[in-house]
Amino acid sequence: MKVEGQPAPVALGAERSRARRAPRRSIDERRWIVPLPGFILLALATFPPFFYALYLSLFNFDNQAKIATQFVWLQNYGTILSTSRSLHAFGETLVISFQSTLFSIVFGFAIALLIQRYAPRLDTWLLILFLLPMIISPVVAALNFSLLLNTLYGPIDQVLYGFTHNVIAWTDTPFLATEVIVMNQVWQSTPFAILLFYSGLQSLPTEALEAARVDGAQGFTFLWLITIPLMRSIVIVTVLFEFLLASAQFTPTQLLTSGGPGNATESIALYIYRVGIAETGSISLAAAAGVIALIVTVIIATIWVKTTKAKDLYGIERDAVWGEADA
Amino acid sequence: MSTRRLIGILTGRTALVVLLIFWLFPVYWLILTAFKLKVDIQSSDPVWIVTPVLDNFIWLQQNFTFDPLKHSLIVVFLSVAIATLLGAPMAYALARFPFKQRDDVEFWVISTRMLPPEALIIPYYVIMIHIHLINTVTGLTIIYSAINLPVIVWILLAFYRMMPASTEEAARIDGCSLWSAYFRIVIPMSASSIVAAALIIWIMTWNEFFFSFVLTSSNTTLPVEVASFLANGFNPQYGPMAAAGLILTIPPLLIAFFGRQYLIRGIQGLAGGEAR
Repeated sequence: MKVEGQPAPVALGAERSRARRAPRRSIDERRWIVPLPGFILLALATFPPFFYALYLSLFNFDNQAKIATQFVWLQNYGTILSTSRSLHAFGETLVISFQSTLFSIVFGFAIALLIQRYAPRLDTWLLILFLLPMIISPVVAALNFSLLLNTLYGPIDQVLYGFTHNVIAWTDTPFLATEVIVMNQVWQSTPFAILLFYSGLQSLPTEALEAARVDGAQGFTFLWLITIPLMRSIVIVTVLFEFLLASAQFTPTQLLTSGGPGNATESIALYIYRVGIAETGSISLAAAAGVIALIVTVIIATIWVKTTKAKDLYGIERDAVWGEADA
Repeated sequence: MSTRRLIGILTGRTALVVLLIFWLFPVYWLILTAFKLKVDIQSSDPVWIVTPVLDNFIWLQQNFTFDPLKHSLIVVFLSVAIATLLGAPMAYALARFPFKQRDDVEFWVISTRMLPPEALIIPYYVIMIHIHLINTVTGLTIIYSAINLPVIVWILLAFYRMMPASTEEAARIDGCSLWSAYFRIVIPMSASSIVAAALIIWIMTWNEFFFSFVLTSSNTTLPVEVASFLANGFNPQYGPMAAAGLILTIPPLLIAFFGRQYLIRGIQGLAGGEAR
């Protein structure tokens, strides 16, 4: 019951205790001011576009006025899941991603192992040389491969011509065009696997390795039964990361093959760009495809985060968090 | 035994060298083409070594403006600066401030980093049209800052987790406020990680093609300009194209050689953890 002019006793007590602890508390209460702008920017850049994409995907879109006009329920999703072109784009993305991931992992592991075994003193220089393809712009990578694979002036065709006396038109058959894209992707994304595996190999517990050697494990048995199981979480993280990288690729398909021949190498990113912006301007259709791609990615990303949170990615325990005790 | 061992080492090193030659051959070919005469580029036998000529660069200088380069520099420097300034305190807050939904917030930040660009491009495109930021350097800067933010947070979060809290606690007990402890103690201690993270996003933004390609046309950045050579269809200008590609590659190459330790740490951080 409130009496006018007389604050309630509880409030008075709270007032007093706040006054007593003022200097420490006031700073800690305002501590969110510094990181807040970052969180706001991130929230603005992710939530509105996401919900806007959902909204767009449920409507028909007027391409002249750039506004959504008519609510059509899940019709756009139906179109995506029943049109051969969009299904092909999803399938092609899967094919490219699977192959790139597989090759990147195999090459990455082999190179990391070679460096660690045979040239550990030069590791920084070797790593940085092997890393170069990764820090080169995807545009330059595509440009490189178009120079190398040019049917008339490219060195690969010119050398191969000496053996086969056949000109290989790399981007003219769906199979070869896909492999060209995969090659480009592998060249650019393997460095990541090399680096991760190399750090993984470096941080393996030496006692366990010694014990296995004493027990007589050697060669491939050693690799398969000891090294790889010990690096399990790194392998999982690398596989998922490579897969995500490859499934979002746009540049090689756009620049090397332009999705061709026909629509054979049209990846999902290229499909969305073409259908939504370049050709017909069916923005809602592209938005629906984007939402589907997003759902797939979120599933993969969730597994990834859960794995990295298993905290021994490099054998490091999470540090005790400041203030955890009084939370 | 020792002969076998020696053979093993020799085989391993040879394999490494051969792999490295194949690995870097595309880069060599790019540099070679950039310094070749047109006659050598279009010869019917491969030309492996040439005396460098600058014809292609001169042709570029005569036929192109410096605008894309200027846009690239502005966009990259601004967005990296914004992302680093905003992102470092975010990582610190996530690592050190206890609150109930911390795992959820952390998951949200990390997951934004994995959002597929193709899912965001359509809403970004329409929104940018509506707020009249399509084809502007400003619009691109905002988008790149937002994309880079989670990368910075992700890399630094792993670092702050590993860093023992005792130094900051000592500073707090000596009377530092929370954020002055952060700026005076934590930032100097984590400077190398911040540099590593900033270099990584610098390279990623400098190379970025997709968003720039879709969201800008006349006010575009360097990668899109370089890519326009490839889109030219029949008989592209291979020499100038390689020269332009080389110009685009030089800054990352310099970073790779002079900041190699940082770069390696940064890329490791990209996967969600730093090696010691």
